[in-house]
Amino acid sequence: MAREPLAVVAGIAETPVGHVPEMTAQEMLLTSIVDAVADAGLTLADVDGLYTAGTRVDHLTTSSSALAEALDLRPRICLTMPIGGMQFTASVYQAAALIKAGIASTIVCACADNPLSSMQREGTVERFAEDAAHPEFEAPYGAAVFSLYALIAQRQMYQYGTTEEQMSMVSVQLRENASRNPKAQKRDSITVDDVMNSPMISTPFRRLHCSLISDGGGAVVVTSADRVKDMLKEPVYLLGAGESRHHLYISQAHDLTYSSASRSSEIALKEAGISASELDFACFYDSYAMMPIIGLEAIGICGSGEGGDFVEDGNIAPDGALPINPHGGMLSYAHPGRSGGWLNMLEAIRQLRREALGVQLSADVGLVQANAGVESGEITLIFGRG
Amino acid sequence: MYPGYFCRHCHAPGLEWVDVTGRGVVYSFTVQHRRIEGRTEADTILAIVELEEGPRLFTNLVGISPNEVSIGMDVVVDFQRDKDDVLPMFRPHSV
Repeated sequence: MAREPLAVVAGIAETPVGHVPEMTAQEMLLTSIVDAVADAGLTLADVDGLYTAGTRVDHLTTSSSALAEALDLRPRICLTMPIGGMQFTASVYQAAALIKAGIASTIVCACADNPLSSMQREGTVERFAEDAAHPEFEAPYGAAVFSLYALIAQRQMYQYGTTEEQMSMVSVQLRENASRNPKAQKRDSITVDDVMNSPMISTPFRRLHCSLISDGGGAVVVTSADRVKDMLKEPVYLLGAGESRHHLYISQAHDLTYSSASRSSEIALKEAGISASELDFACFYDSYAMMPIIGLEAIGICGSGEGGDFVEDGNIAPDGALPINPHGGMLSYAHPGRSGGWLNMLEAIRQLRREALGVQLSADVGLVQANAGVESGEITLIFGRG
Repeated sequence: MYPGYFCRHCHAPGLEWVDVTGRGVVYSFTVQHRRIEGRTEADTILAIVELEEGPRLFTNLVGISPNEVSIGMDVVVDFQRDKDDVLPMFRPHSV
């Protein structure tokens, strides 16, 4: 390693994903926390910090306080972080900083949500419509969250000529990855024609440009690098992290094609001491098929407006220049509400441990990207093998 | 932008209401195809309009077929009653 790591991921756990009606969100969280600690070769007595995200439905039973009570933990740090889709990257970032500062030694970050079982598809769409728009100046116009993201995609296509075919190729590649993963929620191969003939949701998004609605979650154990000798599994190091905010509500974005990921990834890559071209893979927050294209541009692997061509040239495939979301991502593996991006991070760690369930890359360093709100803020994490 | 306590750019307090022309251009738009129960009808046009004076507003476009909308087209405000509110929406405007 070029530089001293920020922290180390010692253990991970992931629940069943997809349609999981037999587990509540709290059961998923408790199971994940216990399993991740065991995976690390530690005990719950070693845990002195707990971060969770809360959930939309079972928020009383899924707060960090409720989980600490249920496990009889006495953490020094105990926080529910309701910051939408980037809670997982934020909690790992904060955990690393607290461990580095000597305030805590081992922090478990966990998230699980079950919108598919608890709210069903229609209920989730309606609930999500209420969350992301300004209550007074945007929500009265009736936008669902997919339409807020569609405004970004439309502007990207107008400004740079990114095509619907290129966007559809993201959906096709991630489904191809998922088809090789026995745990993925959607495994039937699809073509660009299938994507472009799927029902229109909100222009330019068709159904197969939109991420899934799923149940599931997981946990990671973050600790200091000096605990490596105690670990059961191969350690995965957090080499760099960065955060950047832009706006909260989409109508306040200065430029709809600008992603704060350009700033957050610049900070994270600099800290890791590498350039974007040295990354072996990336896990983007693929809530909609256009978002990885904008993400590729933001991290600097290609220029502004060149993300569509980068995808079209085959670069995001497992044998391409920068494979993305090798498990299938939120578009095809699973997207369990607030813990959607979690599964992308867990996949990055499995890739680096050589524990992938499907596509296994020969990768030493990977980037995990997440956003909150509607491209409102971004956090980048860089993970690597020892 | 929407009303706030102070200026987002210079952080000065004391913002005032000023009249604007009501004219602007479509910065981005989307046609929300599906009907959302109790909220919107099918094919609602959602847009961000940039006013001549600079600020952008979230809005609906009215008085135009969804397949005729384009980014950059000229629009003008058209106040529409929505239940108990009056909302500024926009319709096409030939310059």
